Amino acid sequence: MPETKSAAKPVKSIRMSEPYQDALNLLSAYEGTPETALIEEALDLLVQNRALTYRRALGLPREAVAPTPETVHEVVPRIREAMREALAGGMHAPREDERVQRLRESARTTEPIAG
Amino acid sequence: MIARWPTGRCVEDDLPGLRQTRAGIRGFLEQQQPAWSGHEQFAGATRPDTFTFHNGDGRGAVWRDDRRGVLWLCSTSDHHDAGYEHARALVGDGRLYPQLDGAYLDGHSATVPWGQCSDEDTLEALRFTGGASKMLGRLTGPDQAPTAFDNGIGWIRLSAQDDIWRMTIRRNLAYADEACERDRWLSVAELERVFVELTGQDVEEADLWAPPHDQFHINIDFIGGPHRPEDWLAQRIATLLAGETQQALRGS
Repeated sequence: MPETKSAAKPVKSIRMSEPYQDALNLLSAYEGTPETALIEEALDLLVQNRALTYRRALGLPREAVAPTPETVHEVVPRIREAMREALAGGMHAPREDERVQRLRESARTTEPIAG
Repeated sequence: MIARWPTGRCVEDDLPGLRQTRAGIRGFLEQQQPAWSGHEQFAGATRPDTFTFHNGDGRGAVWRDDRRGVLWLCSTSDHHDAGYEHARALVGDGRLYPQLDGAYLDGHSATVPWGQCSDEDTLEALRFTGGASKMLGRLTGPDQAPTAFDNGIGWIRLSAQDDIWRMTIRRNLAYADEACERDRWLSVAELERVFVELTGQDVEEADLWAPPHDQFHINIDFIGGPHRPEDWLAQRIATLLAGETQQALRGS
């Protein structure tokens, strides 16, 4: 979801600890990439990275996390929309204990192979 | 592509001790078809379609796994009577047959988390890389359109521009919805191993880079063409018979 017209973007002020500010400054200087563009790309990657974790909880089909380079730009909007709908429905990301519980239930229903 | 393979236990315990019958194992694996010409049922079998394996004087057992379309070499030995005794003992220990997912979805994939069923994982990795090798072996030059491999779980594409070849690998494995716990991200080491196996290139000579705004893919630029599929399989068999397979398979 790359965007280039920074002048039209709303302002979002955040506090960032020194090591992260340093990393941002360094990467920006090293690449010659604006800090805003780096943060936007990092957020895309973060949401994509969460895709496997939350796909089922969000009710997304497997195709949502099996893109090609041509369709990868569709992933983040789909996950964002699914999260928006989940929150509107009072749902949240599965907690660790909920995830473990589901694994145990799944294991109980899996028949061991004979022999 | 992979329709015959030894179980992990057979690789680890039986193959290193073979002195007389390694050529027979190589011949068995080079055929790569699930059909089995032997009709003698293994007397100690606890599953249908378990047959005796004759290899020179040596004896063992094979099991035809129709759900996956693979003939598993379950045990082998240089010896006749001792070979049968060995296979019967393995049945008694519950170790003759491969470690597989009991909830396997026929025609689709395993469902259990990666790492729980070692033979299931090995077969999937072999078939993934082998299938990609077959597809990518068709790309012979820079004037061809990119060619992609998609087995419904993983995805790889190879393209060429001038002398630079580019392998694009999707960094995650995505399974059918029912395969609820097997999805995972591939590690960098796994991605590099796929590249090395397919191309025979030294990964240190290649250039790995992540496309912007795309966590799902990694590009690997390199010089030259991929191995032919038959070369890939021959190398895997040679590695197996050289006794290095366990390490190789664990990383697959």
